[in-house]
Amino acid sequence: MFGTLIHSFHNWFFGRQIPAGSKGRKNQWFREPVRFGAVLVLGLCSCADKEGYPDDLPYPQRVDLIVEEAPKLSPNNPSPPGGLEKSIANLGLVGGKILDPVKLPEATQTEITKLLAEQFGTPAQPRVGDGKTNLPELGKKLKLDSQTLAQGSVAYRRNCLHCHGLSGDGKGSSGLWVHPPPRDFRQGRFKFISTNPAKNLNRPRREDILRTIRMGLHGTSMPAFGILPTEELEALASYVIHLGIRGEVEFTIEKTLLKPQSQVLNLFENYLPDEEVSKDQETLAFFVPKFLQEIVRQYHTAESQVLVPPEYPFKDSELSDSIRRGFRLFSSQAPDALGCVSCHIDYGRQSPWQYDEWGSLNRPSNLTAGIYKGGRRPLDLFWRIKRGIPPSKMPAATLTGEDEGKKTWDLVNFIEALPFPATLPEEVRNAVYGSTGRIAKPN
Amino acid sequence: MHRFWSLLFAAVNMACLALLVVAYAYPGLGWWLPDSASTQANEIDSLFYLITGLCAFFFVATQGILIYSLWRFPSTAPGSPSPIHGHPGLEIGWTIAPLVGLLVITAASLPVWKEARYQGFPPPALEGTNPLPPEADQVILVTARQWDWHLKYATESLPAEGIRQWASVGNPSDLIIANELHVWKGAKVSLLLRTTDVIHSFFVPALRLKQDTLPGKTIPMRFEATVSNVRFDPAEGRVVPNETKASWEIACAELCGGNHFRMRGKLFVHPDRKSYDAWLDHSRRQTRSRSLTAMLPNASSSNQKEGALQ
Repeated sequence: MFGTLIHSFHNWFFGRQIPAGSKGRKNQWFREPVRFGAVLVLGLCSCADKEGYPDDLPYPQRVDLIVEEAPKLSPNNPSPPGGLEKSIANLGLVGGKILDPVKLPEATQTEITKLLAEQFGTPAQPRVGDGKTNLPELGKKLKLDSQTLAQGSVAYRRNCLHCHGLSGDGKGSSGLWVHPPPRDFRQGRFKFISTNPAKNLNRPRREDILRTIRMGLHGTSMPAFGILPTEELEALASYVIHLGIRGEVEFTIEKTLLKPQSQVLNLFENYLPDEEVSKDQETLAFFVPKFLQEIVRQYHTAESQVLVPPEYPFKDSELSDSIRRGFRLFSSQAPDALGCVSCHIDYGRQSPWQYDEWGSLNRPSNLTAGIYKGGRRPLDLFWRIKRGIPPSKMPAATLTGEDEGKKTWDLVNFIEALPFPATLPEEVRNAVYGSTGRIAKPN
Repeated sequence: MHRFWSLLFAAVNMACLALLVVAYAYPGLGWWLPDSASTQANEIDSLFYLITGLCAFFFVATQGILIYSLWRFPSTAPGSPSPIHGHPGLEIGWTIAPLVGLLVITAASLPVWKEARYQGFPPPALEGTNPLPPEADQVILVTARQWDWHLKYATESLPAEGIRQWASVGNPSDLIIANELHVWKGAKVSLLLRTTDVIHSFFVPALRLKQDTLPGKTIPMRFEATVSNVRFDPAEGRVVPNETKASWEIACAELCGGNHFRMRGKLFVHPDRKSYDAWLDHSRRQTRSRSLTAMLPNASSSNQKEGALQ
């Protein structure tokens, strides 16, 4: 079968074997040069490609399942490669709640798509706001102007698209095959953030997103992009925020409207409680720009609300004692202990799998391995402890009292020293690694 | 046009040879070898010339025969050529000739391989007693993964258990950064190559250094840079290019997945140890800082426009 195919192609390409001296050969003399030229031109055509997205390409409408509530229980294993979507579809069977955006009335779906296109443009011409009434000022401060976004979209297509996908859904062609799965930006949620939790802001600062892009997420498939030009990194951060806001507007509307007996009014009640709406304003066309403003305002507030760590209180000679105190805080025995060890079981070496907000699985970090997704600087560890990682269920440490700052640094010191048995005080080393001094293996 | 194919083959071959001559004669075009910035570069280039010469000889010989045959016996010409069957002399000849060629290449490349690979590292059995590779000024662990390079710089003396132990566990003070290889001119650098996932290949064209990283193995390499391309500017707190303006790439040279093409890094060669130490100290302070105000936004130092890959 295959041989016949190749043979007939060969005959077509090179011409049938024509006996020497027979008639018809005269008409065939141009066959070889013409065909050779045709193949050459075809080959060269494939090299011509424009840098950014095609102009007429729209953002796709969200059709994949929405995880309204992730299950509480811990499964034994993550879904197999490529099986995330299937496992999300089955979350309902294990105590989760999922919603199907395709079940929205078709008119509503069309309206959402149209409104989103108005406010967010297309992948080739992305924007935040309609460019006129909506947020020219705040948008500029957050570098969400259309010039930066256009630059970001080109860079995103080159560097991020094939994992994070066109709409930032984390379902690019390579994204299906890696674990943990690439972040789905469309909920506007980010894990590694440094904003002050007291202000109840679950927004990242631009610097948080930039850190992730520059350094990557060690221990996941997110590589470091630090050698890209600064300008390009900034544009990428802007574009990620753009995708996040766009996705979040879509996600919020769909999630709310999919609940039984819900209406547009519920959107205003839940997400814009301060907005007074008259009856004829209860439309998506009125909600979308307002909600978008509210989100951008939150991002903007987050910029100035960094959680400033208290001054580091210890001298070098006090490090061992600090590690000891950190160890006690980490454990569950001492009266003021935080019980980190109840999730980071065996210091993370036997952590159980858990569902995160996106319905994918992760597990509390193995802290003996010295691999920190959110960064290995003491500051990063400080923020992880004080801020928690809300989308993945890691709570913020509830340290109180006047020596709260000291206690947090104790924890940081302990976690920093944990992968290095030689630097731990003897009784801590024995507790963590056993009396044999078992060495942590990097994974 | 009966001889289209013979003419095409002749033209393409002539063009190839012409390109080779032009590339060699006009180095400004950048078509010939990249900058060479290490002690082993010259020896490896000599190997390249030897192999290119051998290949060029056989290329001309075989293509010559091919084009002559196409020209002399086109498919449309009447009659057919007389083939040779079972000519022992010819067969022995074309078996011996490549053998000799390969032996020459092997003999010429072994000393270079030894220099790049086997010098300066203690055998595993002796490691415990001899933690630092003799003569090494700098030890760097390169961990490849899809799709970047993590480089771990030793900032204090290595643990007594040896360098492989250091590669596995390390010291709390080690500096870990992504995609940036910093060395200084004249430093004897020992690299340890590892991978966390698939096979990658650590390739620094300017150093003529290329080695696959294999899962489960720690592979030592060594080099010594002879030209510097940057210096550390303490006032600006970053690495700036020097007068050579050279930008040297680190590339992954083994197809390793979807983002293989962008698995790249940069080589920074400081003029002297002082500049390197200043950079190391600066980067360490950056990454070890516990106060927000002392932090500059960049955890890594040379992430600047000038330092960007083209």
